[in-house]
Amino acid sequence: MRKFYDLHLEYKKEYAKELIERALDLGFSGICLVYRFQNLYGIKGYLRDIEKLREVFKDNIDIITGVVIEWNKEKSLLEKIIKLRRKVELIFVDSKGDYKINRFACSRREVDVLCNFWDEKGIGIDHICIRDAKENNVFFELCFRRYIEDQNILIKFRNCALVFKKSNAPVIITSGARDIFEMKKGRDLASLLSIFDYDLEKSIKAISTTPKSIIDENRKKLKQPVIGVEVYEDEKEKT
Amino acid sequence: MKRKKPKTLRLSLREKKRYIVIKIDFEEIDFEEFCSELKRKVLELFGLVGYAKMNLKIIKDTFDGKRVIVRCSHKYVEHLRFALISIDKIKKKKVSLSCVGVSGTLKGAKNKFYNKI
Repeated sequence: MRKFYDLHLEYKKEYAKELIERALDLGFSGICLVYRFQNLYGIKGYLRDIEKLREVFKDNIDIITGVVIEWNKEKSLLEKIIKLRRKVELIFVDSKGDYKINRFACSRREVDVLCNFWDEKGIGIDHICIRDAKENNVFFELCFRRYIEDQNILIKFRNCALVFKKSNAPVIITSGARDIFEMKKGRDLASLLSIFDYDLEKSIKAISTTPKSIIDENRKKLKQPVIGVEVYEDEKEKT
Repeated sequence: MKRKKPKTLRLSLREKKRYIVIKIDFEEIDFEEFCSELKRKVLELFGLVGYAKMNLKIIKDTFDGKRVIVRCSHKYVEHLRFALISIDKIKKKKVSLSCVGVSGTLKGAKNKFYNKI
């Protein structure tokens, strides 16, 4: 049976438990409660809360940590990314349609997901961004909540689907839910890409196996004391 | 004079259909409300041509406020899924619609999914 992963649920301390219970009802194997980065003190509290939730829902669902970094002029984006990379499992960059930020995020291997990348005129990315994203394992996020907020975004989703289909770009689908009403079933969310003639199997993978592979890869990296150095515990693993 | 029954189409000429079992969460709604909202959403998303191609039919007997079976063309299952998840409110009631399963026959849809909700 397929395992579905929703990598973007907005974290709020009051609703976190409700979101997890709803995710269990909808049959998700894992969810990422995403924290909007404000400061490092906030991150500490967030990580503590997630640890508590992991203990409660230990056997039922995989809870993943993630941070959305929004670009603003005050502090450099790179500084924030480097600070947070070893603290959380997923790093999202919200570029708000700025091409320079899109290009920067695609060229950094510390970044996992690029979200909200389309601008007013177009989809905000080009073949160079896609090439860099493929090289650095950066995934483009299509968030269902954006469509609920602004229905005209569907045109951009269609253009994205066309480009992603042609260039075989790395893509994930998320719900971006803020409350339980906005949460949808994994298989239903896959229709966000498949209605635009994107391959059905690939669009299902964008919410099942692809997110799983990102998490596995990042967890493996987080276990490494230094990047590129692996620690073996079992004798069998050595061989 | 005895009236003749119209002959049914041959199996190969009939359109392929799919029966989709839908679960309605959070609120109980009326049949009329559900029908009008689903039709409105499909028309809004895919237009009149899309609505005609979809060959949508809501099976009234299966509606009980919490679950329902909807029939559509086999080529438009994904479109219907998308229309369903796009519905977030029905007459000011916050709801969440989800597709439980898809089957080729009404009997299959009832046995596999509908009766297990």
